[in-house]
Amino acid sequence: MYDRRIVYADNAASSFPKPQCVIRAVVNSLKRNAANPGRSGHVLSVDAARTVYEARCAAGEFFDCDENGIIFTQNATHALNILIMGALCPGDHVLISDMEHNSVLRPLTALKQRGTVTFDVVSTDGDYVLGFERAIRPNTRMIICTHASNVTGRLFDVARIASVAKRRGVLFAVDASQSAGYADLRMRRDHIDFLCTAGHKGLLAPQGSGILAINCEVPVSPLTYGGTGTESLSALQPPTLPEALEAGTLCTPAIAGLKAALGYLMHSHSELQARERRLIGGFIDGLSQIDGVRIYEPAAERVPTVSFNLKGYDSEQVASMLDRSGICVRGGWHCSALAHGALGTAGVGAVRVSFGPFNTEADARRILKCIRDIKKI
Amino acid sequence: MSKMNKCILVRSVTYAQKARRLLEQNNIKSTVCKQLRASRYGCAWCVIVDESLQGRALDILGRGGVMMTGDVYYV
Repeated sequence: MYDRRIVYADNAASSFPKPQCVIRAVVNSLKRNAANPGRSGHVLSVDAARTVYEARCAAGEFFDCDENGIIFTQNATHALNILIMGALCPGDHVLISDMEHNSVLRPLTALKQRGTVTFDVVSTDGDYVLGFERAIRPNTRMIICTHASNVTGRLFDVARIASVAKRRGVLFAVDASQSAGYADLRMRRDHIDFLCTAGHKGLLAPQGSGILAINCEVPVSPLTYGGTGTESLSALQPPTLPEALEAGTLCTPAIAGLKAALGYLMHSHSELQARERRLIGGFIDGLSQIDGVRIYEPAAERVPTVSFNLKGYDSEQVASMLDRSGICVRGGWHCSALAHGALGTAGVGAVRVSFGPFNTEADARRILKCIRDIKKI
Repeated sequence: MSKMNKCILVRSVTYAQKARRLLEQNNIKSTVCKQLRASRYGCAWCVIVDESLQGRALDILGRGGVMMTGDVYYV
């Protein structure tokens, strides 16, 4: 059971706890039909395949994308790697924001080092939509932008960026790892070609789940080749989505949990979003009243995440002291070299507090008290 | 199975599930099944429908975007 003596405020890393319906779905899957979906022809395999398909349909409805374009991955990093390694061609140029996670920066850097792809980083300081448009070159093939920063929580206007991309004939990919489940994202409505997200953060699903959603006809080469459950006599990977990008056994229990989580969110989304918005707003107000605290992008529209530093302390020090008081947050650099570079925190990192649907105002007050207590030491 | 049923081969288990759902929405009962006959594909998936509904089923599946292999046979 979730120990209420611990305040878990690290939902940007992984959401915790999970809704009871998600836990039940995972346990039921493990107990009843966690056979290999889409491999054997027996009743349990077919039943597992049906669970996976229903999860695909739920994800398609959630993100406004055809279910055949829903590719299940292990996590968002996996989804982004499939996209970046599979959709880009030699000679392509890519634009990314200065808030991208290393799961965007590192595969692109690897391709750049191989001499196949180039990329530029667009500042999110000021009119970044104009910044993206001005940075487009004749060979710009894709813009990748995070919907929300995993460091500051700031939300970006991906619909406007998508509009520029569409007008200029450039593909547009959104990293929705921090926003899925909180902010409204509809691929067809917003002209988003690709969407990558984790299942285990705002979507409240288990670790081991992620999604690459494809809303265009651009071919994506597989990252992993192997068994797909069809055309087994062929040495070639079958090209049909989604299986073409899902070689190997899927994590049926995690996908069952994802299906339950999507149902939970579709039912409760507005109420949860309103509550989390109030929570983070109140927390930032309280944080701003503590001397020596510097908050990063305090006025931005955001997901329920904020990062700060406490004067005179390293970020990991603060996180460690909060941990001793039963507060779970993340200090350091959040796997985001670009963001910390842009914020000027590359030398110190930051302390990130990220709320989820099960955090309360009492949690927020307790964190603030513990921060004030650190200052008294 | 009786010879009154037809097996419609599709491109993947996902399309098999999609086919079953589309047919169900159109009041056609079907069963998702692994292809029983050995074929040039190796492993393959199909939906099984009553022979009398084959034409209608193929029409529904085609319009619904289900990728089929083109193979249909008795089961």
